[in-house]
Amino acid sequence: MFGIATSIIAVGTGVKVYNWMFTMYGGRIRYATPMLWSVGFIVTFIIGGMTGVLLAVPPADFQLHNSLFLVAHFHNVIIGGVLFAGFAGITYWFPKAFGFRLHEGWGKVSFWCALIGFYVTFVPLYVAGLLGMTRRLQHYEVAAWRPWVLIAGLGVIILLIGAIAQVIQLVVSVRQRDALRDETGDPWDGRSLEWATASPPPAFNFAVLPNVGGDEPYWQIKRLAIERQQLAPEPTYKAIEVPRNSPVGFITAFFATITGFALIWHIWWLVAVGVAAAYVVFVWFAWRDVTEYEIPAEEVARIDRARRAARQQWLEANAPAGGPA
Amino acid sequence: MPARFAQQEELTNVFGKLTWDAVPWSQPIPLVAGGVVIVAVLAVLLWVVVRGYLPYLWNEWITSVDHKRIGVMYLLLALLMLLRGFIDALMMRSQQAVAFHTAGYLPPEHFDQIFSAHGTIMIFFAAMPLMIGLMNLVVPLQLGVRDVAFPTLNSTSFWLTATGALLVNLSLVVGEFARTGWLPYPPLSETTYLPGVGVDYYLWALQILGVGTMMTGINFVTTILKVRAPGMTYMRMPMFCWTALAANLLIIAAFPVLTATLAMLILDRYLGFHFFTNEAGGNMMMFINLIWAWGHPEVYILVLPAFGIFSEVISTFSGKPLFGYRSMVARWERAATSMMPCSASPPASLRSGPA
Repeated sequence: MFGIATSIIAVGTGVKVYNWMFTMYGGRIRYATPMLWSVGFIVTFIIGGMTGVLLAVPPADFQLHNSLFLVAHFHNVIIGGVLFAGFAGITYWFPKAFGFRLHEGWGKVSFWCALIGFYVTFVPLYVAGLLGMTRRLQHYEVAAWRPWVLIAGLGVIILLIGAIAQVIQLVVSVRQRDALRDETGDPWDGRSLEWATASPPPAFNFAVLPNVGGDEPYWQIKRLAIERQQLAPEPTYKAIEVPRNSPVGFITAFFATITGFALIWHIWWLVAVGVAAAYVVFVWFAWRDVTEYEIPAEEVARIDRARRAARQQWLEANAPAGGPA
Repeated sequence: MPARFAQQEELTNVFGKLTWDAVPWSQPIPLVAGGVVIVAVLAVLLWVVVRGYLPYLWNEWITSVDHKRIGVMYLLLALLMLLRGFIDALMMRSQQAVAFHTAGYLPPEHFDQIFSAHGTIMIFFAAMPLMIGLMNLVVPLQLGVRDVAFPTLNSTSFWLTATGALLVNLSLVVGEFARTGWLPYPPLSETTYLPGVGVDYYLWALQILGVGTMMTGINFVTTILKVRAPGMTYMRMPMFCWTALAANLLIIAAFPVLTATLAMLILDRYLGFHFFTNEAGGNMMMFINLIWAWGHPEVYILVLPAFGIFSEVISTFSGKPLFGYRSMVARWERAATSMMPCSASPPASLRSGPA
């Protein structure tokens, strides 16, 4: 039953791999760091998926469960899937959050270290698992496992170099932030609405909420602007209400920490204090009167006009080719 | 190792089981590591106070309910915890590299804590905040709106996640962590076999984290269903919003199962119940069935947002709309809804799940 279910999962996953490949097919592909992480993911995830299908075959699973083969499989999909996505997402949306891009060179160093380091660490663990090495061994006596464990140790050093490259990337990017500045709010020629506002976005995100008319709203807005060689007409700016900051989350968590610690150590009076205090915070929060503050229309206009000026400049600079930067 | 306390001693001590013996004075590795972390944290705090950044930090970040700021704080937490989990990985790999015919440099009870902490931290405090952080940063912007549905709840979610992370890391210097692996399978996790505070650190850290994650799930499902820009119909939403919706629906379906399962283990450990014990009619297999009823959806909670990110990135850097958008939407939502009847999870799942 479980074997069948897992095999069915594999079919759907295979379909979406083709979706990504057909998205790339015929496209003008730019291998910036986020794209490298994504292509690295497709390859790595296919391998991880296939070892997962192997584990779904009951006789193989009977032999391999709780072995290093299993450990290698789920690291294969978690690192290749979630971690690579995290780094792809961070490099992709970092300019949106902070207003400048991350350094490409160091990003590529860390990507290649992570990709190579991953394979050098976990391919040997697949082999060790097939040789019968179980997970979570504090020490072992089987000579056949030894070389594979040592290669895996080498791989984790490559991963360490990748992690150090990530830290260097961050430091270098902060130091060179003026050169890496994203003025237009659209550093990657994006297609969805997060690129339609400034980088970093103002507290209210959009001066006027976008009116969505199709599948890829920002792409359409951008095409129209390039065709007409002018931005959409300036909207009428209105004051915007945004939620007021609140310490309630932090204070609740502070008392949750105390309560948790007291429960762990059986300090019962402190449990009572923590729970009571957290409750008081809730009551206090429920009684607050003012939940929002207003950003005046002039302030909204000032912020949005600065963004529009940068967009206008970009439009003029890219006028002849019609292609975005 | 923290001393095991007689019931009598615990009742007379105003700090419960907590004494100076809780600090691992005789174990240089956690002692030095903990010391370095404490010094680093104090140095950062001192720098913040001396440079006068404290008001800025408090007003602009700690109390912020802005989804973008909260997203950045989630990502910072995720990267810090990724580093912590990676150090655990380095220790495990180096231990196995030397421990051939020898005992290596990590004694078994310490090694067991390291692999448990590695798994727990990587899944709950690195991978989850990584995905939730990116959702926070991006989803309201992609929907074309000003914030999530419940901004203050969002801030509370983040800080409760940080609380869980703090408790797990505190176990490095005060007491010990679980020696069970990343899922505390009974009967090993019962007081009969592990009477120390390690499993309790795990349980309470995850219960608090679970509250925060559940609120995130409710917040984002509400946001995506109810708070969208004019004209942003479901079939016009970017793929990342769809996968975020699927992941958060799964959080709402699965996290109560985790909370209930851990609550039963807590009752076993604190009040002498017998849900999962060997004796008195307990059934430890029930824990394994229940925890994997959460565990299977959890895989999708982590990987669906990841697929969404790749879809956005591949489309942008190929300069083309995403191929097969509709088929992908159908696929995510089917995956999410098929995971909904959590109780249907078969017992055989424990065979190949990352236990």
